[in-house]
Amino acid sequence: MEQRLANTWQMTVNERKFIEMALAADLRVDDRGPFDYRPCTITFGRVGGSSEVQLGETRVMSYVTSQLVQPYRDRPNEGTLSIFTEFSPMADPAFEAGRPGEFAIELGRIVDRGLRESGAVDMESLCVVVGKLVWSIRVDLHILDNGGNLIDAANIAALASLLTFRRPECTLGGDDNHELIIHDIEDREPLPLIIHHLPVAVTFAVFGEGNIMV
Amino acid sequence: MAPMEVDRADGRTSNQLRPLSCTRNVLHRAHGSARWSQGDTIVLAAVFGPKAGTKKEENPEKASIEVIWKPKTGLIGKVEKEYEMILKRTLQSVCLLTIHPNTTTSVIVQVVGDDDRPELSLIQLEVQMIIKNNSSIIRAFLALRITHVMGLRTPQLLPCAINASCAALADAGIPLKYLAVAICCGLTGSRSVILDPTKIEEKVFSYSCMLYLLVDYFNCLDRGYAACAKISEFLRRSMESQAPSDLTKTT
Repeated sequence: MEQRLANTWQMTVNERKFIEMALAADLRVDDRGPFDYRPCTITFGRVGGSSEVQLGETRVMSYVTSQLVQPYRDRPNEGTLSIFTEFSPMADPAFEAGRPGEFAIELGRIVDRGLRESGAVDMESLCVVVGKLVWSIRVDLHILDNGGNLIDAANIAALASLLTFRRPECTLGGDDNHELIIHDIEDREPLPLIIHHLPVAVTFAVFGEGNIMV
Repeated sequence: MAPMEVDRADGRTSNQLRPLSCTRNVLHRAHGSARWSQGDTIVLAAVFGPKAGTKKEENPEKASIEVIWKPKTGLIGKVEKEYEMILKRTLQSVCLLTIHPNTTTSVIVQVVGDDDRPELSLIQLEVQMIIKNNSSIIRAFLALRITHVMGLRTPQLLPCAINASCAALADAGIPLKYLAVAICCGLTGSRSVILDPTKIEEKVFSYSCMLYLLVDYFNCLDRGYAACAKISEFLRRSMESQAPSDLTKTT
């Protein structure tokens, strides 16, 4: 318990007062305007479906994989999308390995809701055999460096990797036309996911009376 | 029967390694970090310097090292625990543990790239070499592990991780006895040794458990030894070139 407390970084009263006073005068700690973003860099991996986003000091890596599974009973013709958030202790010594904390779960849920409820990823195109086989897309978000504003960075990373992800093409063939053949990457060009639009997350922090974006 | 030279899928000779690259001081929060890549196998290691207290089963008279291995995707299972254990033992022999007793140094390893395609890989003969700092006397201490890895997806992740964690420990300023480097060698069916196998090459290996000839074993060691000397030279050069710039952690 004590070790966990020792790992979290405590803000001193002076620092807190300084930040509050500066914000009251529309000044931010790193010389940005109230509504400015830090420079964002998106790097893609060699294989489709992996991306790394750097937003100032924050770094998030995202990786997409797919698997053929049975669909849910009430949605037999739709694929599934699941987001897994990994708050690795690499990002911040306050994060513990193993069980995700509250914030990790919240971040995962926000990104998940953004993608799922807006209908950004087309689920019906992921269906292979109705009621039996659908593609399940799994997005793993790894937080590498915590420099603040993890939600925005994670969202961008998830979108970037979903846009570059390619799933193998599969057709029904074989003797009785019921056998599923998953084509190798070399045989047939893998297919991208159908993404209708891009939900972008923007985080605001409210201090005192005013409205300031972080 | 002398072992033959093998033609490899990506055009390398049997002794040739994939292109190496090492970047240190990549992360801002971590006390030390390094990103090591060998071809498409990329590993990011972060070190958090000595923190107070040790866990219950550790010896409080020495510093303890805690290793957390994060795979690219999926839950943490037995494979990851095995990697953590191997890495921990290696790093414990490399670090000077008596300087900061009753502290814990955490090393977190994140797999950023592995050679993709999930294949079953077969046999891996892994040679870990610890080469002393003063390279005028290279006394290699061989810690040889023969690991049977059935169902393991990328055994060459472990040497990459060892190299990355060593660079990260040096970046964090943790006192080390030596710089450790590691290389993965494989034994093909035709009894020839190939260095730094990629995942696709693993497929060709034969499934013989513990049926190595002694000659092959030592052949592997020699090849591995030579390759490690090269890797250690590369590590040394990359550290020297980056050393003056990271006195203050600024972007």
